[in-house]
Amino acid sequence: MTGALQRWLLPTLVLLALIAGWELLVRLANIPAYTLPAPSLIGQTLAANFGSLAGSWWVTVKITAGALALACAGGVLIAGAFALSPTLERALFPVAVVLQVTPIVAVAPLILIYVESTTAALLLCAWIVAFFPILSNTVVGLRAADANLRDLFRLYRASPWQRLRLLSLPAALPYFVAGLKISGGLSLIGAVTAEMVAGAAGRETGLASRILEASFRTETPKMFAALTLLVLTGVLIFALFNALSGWLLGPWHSSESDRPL
Amino acid sequence: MRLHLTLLAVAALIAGPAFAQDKITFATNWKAQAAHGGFYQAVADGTYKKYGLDVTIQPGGPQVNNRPLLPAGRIDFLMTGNLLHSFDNVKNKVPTIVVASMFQKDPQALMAHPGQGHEKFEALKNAPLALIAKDGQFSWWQWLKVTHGFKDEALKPYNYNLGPFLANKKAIQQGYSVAEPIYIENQGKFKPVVHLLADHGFSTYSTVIEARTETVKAKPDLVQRFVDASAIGWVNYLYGDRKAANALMIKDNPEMTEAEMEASVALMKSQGIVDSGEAASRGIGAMNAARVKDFYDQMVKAGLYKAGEVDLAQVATYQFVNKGVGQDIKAKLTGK
Amino acid sequence: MPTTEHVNEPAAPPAPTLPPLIDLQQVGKRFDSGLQALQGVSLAVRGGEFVTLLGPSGCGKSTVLRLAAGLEAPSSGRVSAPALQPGSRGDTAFVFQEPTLMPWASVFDNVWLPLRLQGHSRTQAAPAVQAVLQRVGLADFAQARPAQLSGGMKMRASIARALVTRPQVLLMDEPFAALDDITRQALNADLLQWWHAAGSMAALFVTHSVAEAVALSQRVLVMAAHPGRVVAELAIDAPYPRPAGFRHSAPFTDACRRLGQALAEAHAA
Repeated sequence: MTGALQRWLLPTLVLLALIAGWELLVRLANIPAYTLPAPSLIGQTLAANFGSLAGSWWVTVKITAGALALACAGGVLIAGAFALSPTLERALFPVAVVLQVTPIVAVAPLILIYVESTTAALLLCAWIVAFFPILSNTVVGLRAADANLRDLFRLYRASPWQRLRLLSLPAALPYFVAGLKISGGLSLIGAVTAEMVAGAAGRETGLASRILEASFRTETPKMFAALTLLVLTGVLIFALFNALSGWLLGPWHSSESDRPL
Repeated sequence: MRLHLTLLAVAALIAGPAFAQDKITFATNWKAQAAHGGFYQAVADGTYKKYGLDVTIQPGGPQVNNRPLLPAGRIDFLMTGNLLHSFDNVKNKVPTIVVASMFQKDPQALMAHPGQGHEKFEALKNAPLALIAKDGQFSWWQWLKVTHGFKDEALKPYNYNLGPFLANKKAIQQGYSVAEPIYIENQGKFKPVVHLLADHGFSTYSTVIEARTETVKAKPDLVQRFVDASAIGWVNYLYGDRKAANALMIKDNPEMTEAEMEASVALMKSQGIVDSGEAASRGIGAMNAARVKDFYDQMVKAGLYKAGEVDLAQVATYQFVNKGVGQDIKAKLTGK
Repeated sequence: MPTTEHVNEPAAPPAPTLPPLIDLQQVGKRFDSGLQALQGVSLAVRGGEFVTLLGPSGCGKSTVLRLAAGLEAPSSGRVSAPALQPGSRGDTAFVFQEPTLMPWASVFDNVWLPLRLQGHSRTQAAPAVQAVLQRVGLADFAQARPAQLSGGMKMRASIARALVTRPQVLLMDEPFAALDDITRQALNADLLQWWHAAGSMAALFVTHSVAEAVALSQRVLVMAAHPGRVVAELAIDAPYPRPAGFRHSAPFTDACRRLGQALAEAHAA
């Protein structure tokens, strides 16, 4: 059996076993659909409502991707500024920490009051949740270049731009990617939380609104169907960034080597 | 022989109430307010106790959803705001049923700033900003869109904060006609324009009492007692001495004030929310099947349901109401 | 009549043919921590010379290298070296104890770095890079990543990078200390070849291995610690290339013995 097949087979079997167990439990214990729907019912509901749920899924994905892109840009730019100016970092890092620890659940309704466009408000909420790991990891990364390499660059009279491009950025890459893996999942959580707490306009409703709607109308199978799509999205994001990390760092960084710990 | 009977009578007197007290949890759909007054009255003045019920009222709130607690068996009776919840329950085979309707008119309303051209209901759909909470967004807002031409583009989530409405003169927002206008007047120092949805075709019963179908089947006497005591509670609250009830509600909701509650009661009376129409003759809590069907048909037309999708016979039972309970007390209190 | 005074002097250095490239005069270095790393150190290295600093840990030999590279400034005294001239670029090369290669770049890109920092594109630099890779025996590994190389190969790459700009000065800080003996001796021999082929390059080599010092250098400066200073100097009177069996010859053993003595005395002092 090839290595790849082996790697995928075990988790898949476990997953299938769990789902089968769930189905059995619901049937044997006669649990009503409005309390805990069986996986088969969830699958049916998903298929029946796929068109409209897919539309909402796309809205959530757009917000997530947008927030992540902004978190990357913001996190990297701010980290770069911090790396260039320790004074700036000392002044502003506490602000970043405050943003990080403020519960988005409490802040989202306020943001929705102050920001005109609902989409902008949701992006802002998801951004607040997602940008900190990228910022903090990239700050560390930009300082992580080997001291001897830094001496070498000094010796050859490298310009600050050359140093940034050829030394600091590549050295920071593993740290940035680690932050990215965390922020990928967080931006989804942020997008969903913001929409759940603050709601969305009737037109562009993401999966969170659909879950709420189903909840209010006691359509529990639909809730689970939407939830399934959310979970799949999270898994997809995780897999995507794992692959990205492998591609970027695989050839050279120890974090991607196959050697046992 | 006489001694035996006396002893038995004394024993019954002492032991009587102790046997008859059923412990009941009743969940509402919001923080304590005058619109729950009748229930708190029945607790405060001992009416529930007289009917052998030890009632605990469990309030709802902005982030609280008490509805799943009823089918789950964690509460005994549930108060819901309109029949749409009941239709959804029956549609999804949730075994609950409506047993009484305390309000004859749904106080759900849309409010606007005066002098902005929103004095006419038809103008509301053109407001640039409509602040609607999630509960409404997924129920009567759909009806407003189909039946009255409201648009999703204007909708923004209402998070029970008056700020955005007060700040934007062209905005409209939802509220209970007997509550929010009072708060708006207090905070914004102006009287808002109030449009009752019930006046424009939203003919649902409101503040209905729901119970599990198994409770209705197995303990109909319990249900009857709760319905009767609640109706009497409402009569006493509206027409009698409600100070104790108000105090109880302030304990549950410290942000409420006596003045706001009194103003709310006045509005309930003037708008005929509780004691109008059928209730005037058949007692508070009155319901009839024709009205339920009519409301359902309207919702079908509005696209919320498909024809025949909901078995209306399972939505409500009329066996506990329409018996004129409380009419005598009302006559005594109002002198009519 | 030719004078014969110099011919039999055992410690006579080769006749100076070029002015000193590296010149330390009474140099002292005190770090912020209060450590007096160097005190009153004077030494000179000329073009074409291979000089070794030999001493225990903490005697300041690495500090001397860093001063010569312009990576540190002296607290007292004078340092003159090509690296300190304004407009100097690529005339001084440094080989660290670790290979100090950029792990994300190929061997080629690593060796290209000094030329790249001078503004030469990949195509412009290719001939020089390939030539030096050929010289160190890594021509087949140009596209490999450092992680794929052995310790010895990584050090060759590091030296290749040092040589690619044809520097006047080659500074080496215990470059072979982390390698096994066999690889170390092989690299010693190769290093001498590369240095010799470069013509008038001045090499300043730091080590704490007596054998290595004798095998490589023309002059060995013995240093002691607390404070760091030069306590002895020995000339190694042997030709380049070193004859076969040099490490087992009498002059080699003799030089090692004398250096060992000097080190012991310095330690006792």
